[in-house]
Amino acid sequence: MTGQDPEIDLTLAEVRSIGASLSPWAHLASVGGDGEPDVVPVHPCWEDDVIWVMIGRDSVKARNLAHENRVALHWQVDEKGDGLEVWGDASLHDDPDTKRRLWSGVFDYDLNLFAPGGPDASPDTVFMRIEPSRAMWMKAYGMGGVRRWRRNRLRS
Amino acid sequence: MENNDGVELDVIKSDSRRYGPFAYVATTGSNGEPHVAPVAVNWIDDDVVAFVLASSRKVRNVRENPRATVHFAVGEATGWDSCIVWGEASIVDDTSGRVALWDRMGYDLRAFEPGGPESDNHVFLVVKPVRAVVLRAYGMAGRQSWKRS
Repeated sequence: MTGQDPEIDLTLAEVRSIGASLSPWAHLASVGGDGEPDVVPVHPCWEDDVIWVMIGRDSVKARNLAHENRVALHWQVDEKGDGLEVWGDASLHDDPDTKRRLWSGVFDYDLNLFAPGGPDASPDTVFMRIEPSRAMWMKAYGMGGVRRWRRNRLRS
Repeated sequence: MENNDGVELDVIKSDSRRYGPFAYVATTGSNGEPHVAPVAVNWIDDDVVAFVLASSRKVRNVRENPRATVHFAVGEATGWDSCIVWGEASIVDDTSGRVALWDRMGYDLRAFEPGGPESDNHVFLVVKPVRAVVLRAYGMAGRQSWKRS
């Protein structure tokens, strides 16, 4: 079953799989207190149903969350023009337990390349946690069809 | 490391062409939620321009909040450099405006809009740059920036 809305026909597991098939890279949009959008490339990684992004504590995207915690991620489109956008609620995490857990086993690249101090000596490094709220998969820039996922439906 | 603030916009425009024709444009609607979408872009004079569906979310957002940020596609081939343009956004949705821009995008728009510039199904999203930056290797290898005076 897909719930009440026939347009909601993806599971979050499928969203995760689609993202992995497209690219390890996504463009993350956030918004500042003055309403100006920002967009930067990031390397997101999934932990169960949550997306994590390693970022700088003083980065624009980190500062933007103080004003607006909603963000959008668009995975890099492939050569066919297929793309995936995920919207979600973001929060910043810098406690040692979270950093240690994420540092080994969650990310699919070596975080030490960007923060040589590791989880215990990288005060400028924090993690953005994104809880997806909805997603849209567009085939061939949408010309080949659109499929969607939304949280709080019968199907998660 | 090269840190070069105060370059001309032409330096940014020239660098942006290294990344190919695709970019990601971020917009925000009246409800404050960000949106980011891939678009094919071209510089027309000193503006970044995209040909987009009139019904798209980015068009609705720009009508509500006329600001947009363009991040040209990153990749290994360009050393993970970033070229970002922040600007004032507007929508060209009248036939005369579309006619003026129709042949200046660098590709055949009729492949996407057979109705030609007279069709209201497509519009041009125009970003007039306010500031821009090129980051070499995420900024670790230097940066160049421009700001409208």
